[in-house]
Amino acid sequence: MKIPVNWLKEYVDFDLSAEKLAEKLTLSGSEVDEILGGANFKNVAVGEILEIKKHPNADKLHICQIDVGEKKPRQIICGSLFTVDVGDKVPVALASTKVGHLKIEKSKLRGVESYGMICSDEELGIEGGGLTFFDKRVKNGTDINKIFGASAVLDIDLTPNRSDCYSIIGMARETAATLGIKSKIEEPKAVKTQSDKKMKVEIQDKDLCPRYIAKVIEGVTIAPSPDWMQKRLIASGIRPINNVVDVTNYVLLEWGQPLHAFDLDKLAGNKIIVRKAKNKERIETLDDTFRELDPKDLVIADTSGPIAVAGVMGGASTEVSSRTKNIVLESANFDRVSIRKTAQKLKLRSESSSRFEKGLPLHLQEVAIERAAQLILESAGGEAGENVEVISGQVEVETVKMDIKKFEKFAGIKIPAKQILSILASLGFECKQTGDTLSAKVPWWRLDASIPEDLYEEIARIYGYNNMPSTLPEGEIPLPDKNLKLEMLAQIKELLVGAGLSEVINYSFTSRKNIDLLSGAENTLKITNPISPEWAYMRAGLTGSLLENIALNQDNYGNIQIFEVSNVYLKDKDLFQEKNLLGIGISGSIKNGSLFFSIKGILELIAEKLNVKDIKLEVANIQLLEAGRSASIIADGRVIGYAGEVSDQAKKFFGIKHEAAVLEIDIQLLLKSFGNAKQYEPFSKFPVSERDLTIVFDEEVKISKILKVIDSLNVKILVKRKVADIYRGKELGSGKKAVSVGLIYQSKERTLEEQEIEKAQKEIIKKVKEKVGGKVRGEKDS
Amino acid sequence: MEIEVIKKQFKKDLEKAESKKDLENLRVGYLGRKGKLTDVLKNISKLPVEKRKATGQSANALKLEIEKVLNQEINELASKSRKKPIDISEPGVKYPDGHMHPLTQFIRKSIDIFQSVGFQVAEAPEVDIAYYNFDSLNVPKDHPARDSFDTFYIEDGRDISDDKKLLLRTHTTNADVRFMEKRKPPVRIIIPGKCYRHDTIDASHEATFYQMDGLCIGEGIRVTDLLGTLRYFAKSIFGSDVDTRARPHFYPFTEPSIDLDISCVLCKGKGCPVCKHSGWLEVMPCGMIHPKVLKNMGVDPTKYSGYAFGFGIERLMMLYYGINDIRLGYTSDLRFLEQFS
Repeated sequence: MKIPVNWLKEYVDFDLSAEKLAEKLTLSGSEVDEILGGANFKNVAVGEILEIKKHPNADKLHICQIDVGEKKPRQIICGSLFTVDVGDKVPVALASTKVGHLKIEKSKLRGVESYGMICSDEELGIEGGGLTFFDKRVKNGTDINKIFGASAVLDIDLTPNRSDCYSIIGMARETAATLGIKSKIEEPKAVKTQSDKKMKVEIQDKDLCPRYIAKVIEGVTIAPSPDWMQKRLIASGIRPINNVVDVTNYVLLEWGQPLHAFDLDKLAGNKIIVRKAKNKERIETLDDTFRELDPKDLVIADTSGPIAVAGVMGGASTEVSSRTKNIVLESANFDRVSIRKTAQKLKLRSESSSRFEKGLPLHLQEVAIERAAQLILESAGGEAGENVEVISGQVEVETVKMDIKKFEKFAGIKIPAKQILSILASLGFECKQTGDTLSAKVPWWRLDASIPEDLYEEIARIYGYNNMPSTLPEGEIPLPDKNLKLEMLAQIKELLVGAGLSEVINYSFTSRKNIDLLSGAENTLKITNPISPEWAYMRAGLTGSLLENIALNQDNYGNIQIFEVSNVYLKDKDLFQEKNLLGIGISGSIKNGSLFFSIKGILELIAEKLNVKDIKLEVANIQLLEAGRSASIIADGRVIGYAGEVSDQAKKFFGIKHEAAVLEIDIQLLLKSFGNAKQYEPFSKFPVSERDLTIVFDEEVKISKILKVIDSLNVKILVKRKVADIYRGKELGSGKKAVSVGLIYQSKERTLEEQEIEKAQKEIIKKVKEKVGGKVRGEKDS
Repeated sequence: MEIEVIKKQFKKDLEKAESKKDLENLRVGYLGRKGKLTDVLKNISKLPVEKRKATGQSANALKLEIEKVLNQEINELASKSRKKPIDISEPGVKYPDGHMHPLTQFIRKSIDIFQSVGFQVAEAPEVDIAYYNFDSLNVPKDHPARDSFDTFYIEDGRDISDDKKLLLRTHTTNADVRFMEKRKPPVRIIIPGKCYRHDTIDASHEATFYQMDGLCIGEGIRVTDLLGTLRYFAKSIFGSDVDTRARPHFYPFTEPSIDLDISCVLCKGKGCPVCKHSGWLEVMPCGMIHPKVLKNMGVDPTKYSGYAFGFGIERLMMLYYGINDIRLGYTSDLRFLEQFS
């Protein structure tokens, strides 16, 4: 909303720079986005020209001595664009400063020093086009903001609840309350009825039009509107048209009520009908465009058809033209949702529709029609008829009660009752006080005040939030719920970053193509109104995103290790299903072996650090993964995810060049196996003995089987065993592998003797050979 | 003659010597108080006069030679045992260096601050029903935010006006009523999470964004508590020289509603393109929870009051790290991510 400051001043007396006013309004709730026009100068002052001399080295330059209210006059060089005389008072920019984008510094012009610049209207960015001469009574050195301040325009970003502020009058009320001064606003008196010309108003859809007032003005003379009115319209961004249309716009700006004027002589049947449009009904609007309507749109019609899209735009057929003699003015109240939907559909958001969309008070229509009639009679002449009115809405006066003690408890500050009353009164609330209870009658223009908290806000915002202290909540401390999942996730993230992985966050949207490849569309959530068809689905897993990420980064990074923690959402019988997933993707070129073991290593790291005891892998066929090189992850007998090498086909689909492996774990399921904090176990004080056992096996023999045999022996002194190395080489023969198992022996009671270790070793070898075959390295064939 | 024998013997012994200790023993054996050469020198007076001079001279010469050789050997041995200097400009051993996403990092910093004043983290789903995202928060059915121009809806066969219509949450405020259905005041929670709004994506707008909402309900929760908490947060995260200001605003779920601004962290409030020359950045919408919303939470508004706030994490994170394009957070480009430890 654009508010010219001088228009505001017509209703409120204040003496503030536009900048200061803007700050105060912003802090009381009307956020000033920008100050337009000549109101924001720095170091530009009124200067009196004391002396003018010709520049010795330049014909077109003059050397002026200018009194700018400082001890000594300033020497300023000026051109000969303007005729200035000694004694003139003009705007002077004092170096160093900036006017618009122009930097003004102390400088030398052809050898003579200059300490500023005389500024033209154009340079100052103000209306005029020449040079502004100030009244001789203005003191030298006066900041020109004080003079030009009034011509500034405030661009205010208003909140949707304050429909009453979308007008000069509304902002004048706010300004007066903010500054704590009385406004000079008066409601216009009804104009005299002189014409007895009759017409009718019929409302067919009262829900969408609770009030309609029409007023005939007979015998107008169409001409340009007065200069002052045109200037104000222009300042507010509205193009002047003629003295009737301009008045409707002027009153819209002034009071916030959209109005419309029809050419009465073009009105068929002498009747205005407010109704829903018929299907595919057409109207030519004022912008010379034909528009097709449907029964959701409200129209103003005469007996021949629609003559306006209600609240949005008038029709061409009844447009007020230079030949118009008789008009009918419309001041109506329309349903805000209906207007919004029609304006949106027709892509016709106007000053008018945007005000209806916010909702208008029912009293406003009668105020506005009288004000408009008054201005039209003044500028276009004519005789006004009686108001023709249909009203179904109730003009209600609401009273809100509040308790001063409760306010103090709510706000955390104490404000004297007298000050509370004066703040509410300044906003138009009529208050009665009984003890601590205030009973406030809500002014007719406020549609947003109905509960005590609304009054609390009024008091607090005018008092100023920035005058309130900072406190912390007192009283009982809320006791936290332990959230194991969040703790675990935080731990996993730390762990993976520590292990060299980088965290990514991806969009949750994905394409049909990806969905088909990954999970199938069956259980996937589809978005009704996606931004693009490529983003029409909610991803059901993280693998697709991670593979895309690998493809994106592979040209810049040889080795990629990334992870993502995110929720995914799936269809469910009733509503939806949520899954918390951890996804890991790694990629790089690898000479021997498989990236499977890298991803398995990460899984083992997680299991170890989170104290998840029983994690197993089981060979499984997984979408996108290489058969025989991928597995289900199983914890406590539940499948909690999968891991594996990405298949060549999938790599091709995503454009991945090197080997890649992925892992996905359902966090909720992992959580079920999340070990509690590890408990301390006393450690043995006796030395450990480490032995390596290397046995050559056939390639087919599974490591898990070997370890199972060792474990099944339950050797009491064997405290740890792990696969130290797996070696394949020519000397072993093809299809063979040498597996080294590191065995650690220790007792809690004593130092172990060589013999018992030897005994255990022999037993292990014997059992392994017996159960899975194999040959101790170096051993001869038996 | 005896001198020559000693000399030969020394040479032999020297060859056998390996350590500094061996060399020191040689010195004692030859030049010490009872050393072989010392003996010769001690007994010179017992020699015939004509031999005394020559023997004395050669013994002294040998003494000097032995001393010299031993010192040389000792030095050489010492220099042999010292390690060679290295080129310390060679790179250090590479340890794994992963990177936490800057959004995660900023969320963690924020959580830490709010936890220090008694808040705990809560969650809510990103896909939710209209009731939790809108209705329960006093957002009227005809509110523009519910339009399909603003909110993503899921194809579920329900009408847009249905309370159970599935949508992508537009704020983490959807946690508020959900959480309170299971809890009684007092509560203090923060809810960080991913949100979605139907927006055209460019350098400063995203359809996906992270928000952190906060909710504090108890007996006697005041406007000044809201201001205090958020001022505390702003200064904790951006530094004590950051100024704040509160402006009245409007949100359907709070009454009164406030926008908390911070002084521009880039220009220190002087005015720059980022703050649109105002010196202020609008960062934290907040307010006192609307009595209707409290009722929807099952909380008696005559007994309890509370405040709520919610802010976009991207904007603060961008200011914090000097990031100029909001989309970078979702590119998963390691060239971006690896800049954040």
